[in-house]
Amino acid sequence: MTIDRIDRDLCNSCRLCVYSCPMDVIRMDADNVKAVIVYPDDCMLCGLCMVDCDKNAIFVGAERIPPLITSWG
Amino acid sequence: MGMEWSEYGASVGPPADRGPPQAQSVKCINSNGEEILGRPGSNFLEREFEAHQGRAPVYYRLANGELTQRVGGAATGLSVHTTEGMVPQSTNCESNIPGLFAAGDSCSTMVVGAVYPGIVYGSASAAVTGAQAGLGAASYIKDVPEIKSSATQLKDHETQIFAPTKRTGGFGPQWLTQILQNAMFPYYVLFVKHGDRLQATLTMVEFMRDHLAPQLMVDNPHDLRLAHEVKSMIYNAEAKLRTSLYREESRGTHYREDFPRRDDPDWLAWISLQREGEQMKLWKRSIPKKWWPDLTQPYEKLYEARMPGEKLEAAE
Repeated sequence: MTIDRIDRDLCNSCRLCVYSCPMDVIRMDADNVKAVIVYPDDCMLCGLCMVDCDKNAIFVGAERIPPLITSWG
Repeated sequence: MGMEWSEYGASVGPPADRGPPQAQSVKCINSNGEEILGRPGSNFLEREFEAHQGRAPVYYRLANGELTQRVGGAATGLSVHTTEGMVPQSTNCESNIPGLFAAGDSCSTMVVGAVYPGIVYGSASAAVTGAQAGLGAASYIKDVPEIKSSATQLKDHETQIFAPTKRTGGFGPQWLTQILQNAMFPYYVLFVKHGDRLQATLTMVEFMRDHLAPQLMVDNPHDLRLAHEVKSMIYNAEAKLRTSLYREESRGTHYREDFPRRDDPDWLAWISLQREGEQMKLWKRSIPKKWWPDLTQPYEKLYEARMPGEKLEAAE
């Protein structure tokens, strides 16, 4: 699990998460109102979005499952 | 007295009073359930040595006795933290390229070994170097006049930056990233190294650099960033492979199966690397002689920890 979800009801459209994500994972939705997860595979689990969100609307999991074999076994 | 691979096992550990503190506190468990201790002078390579002997996967044992998930080479960053990256020229973290500052793992502060407080404390040195680099950069920029670029220069940069968006056929950056990581991540490339394997991987990385990267194709700004990132990753991989090939000895986390001994005083040296045309030029820089160990001591006393496959001259 990387970034899990953004609660639309809690999101206040401040865009802080969009600006804080160094990996461009989060964007505003088509109506430019709510933050949405667009590129979850690129989440590197830094947690900046979660920390910066005043409304505690963002939930990030504890581990990253990369979509490739990176090590033995 | 030399140790062969077959002899290397869980019974080998550091003397109680030697080595960086974290090397002795991190305990891993191999697939046989045997405890693996860190050894002075081979910072965390034990997991890879275990894997090489067919005793992977390796786990950490937690304080409550439970085992963590598997740990492996991919988790350790492919290099010794903070010995990679730009070499700071001052406590402002400025590099030898005017105006370029580095922080965190990209700043070679050598916070490693006995001065490294332990796993997960990397953010402490990153915070310090980040603050220093930020202040240094802010101070530097105050005295720099506005830089004017010609229209031609700007056009050249624009063409270069947006080239992947103009192609109608080619390779995606995610795929190339995966191909590169699959080539570089296995433990037998950058942990348990051998000249043959390093050269084989370098050949593939050169192919990626010369054939795949120039054909990267994207259709959105997100992927355009990834395209430029993977080109930097290829450059970084080439640097790691070339320097690993160049250092024909073993020391610290650099272990060469084909050169398992430390080579003093020839390799009491750093490797410098510089772009020369389209090539990477490498050369050796001796460390200051005042930092040399006492070379009148016998080798086996200077380096108590044996690397696998290492023979002692006295035993030969």
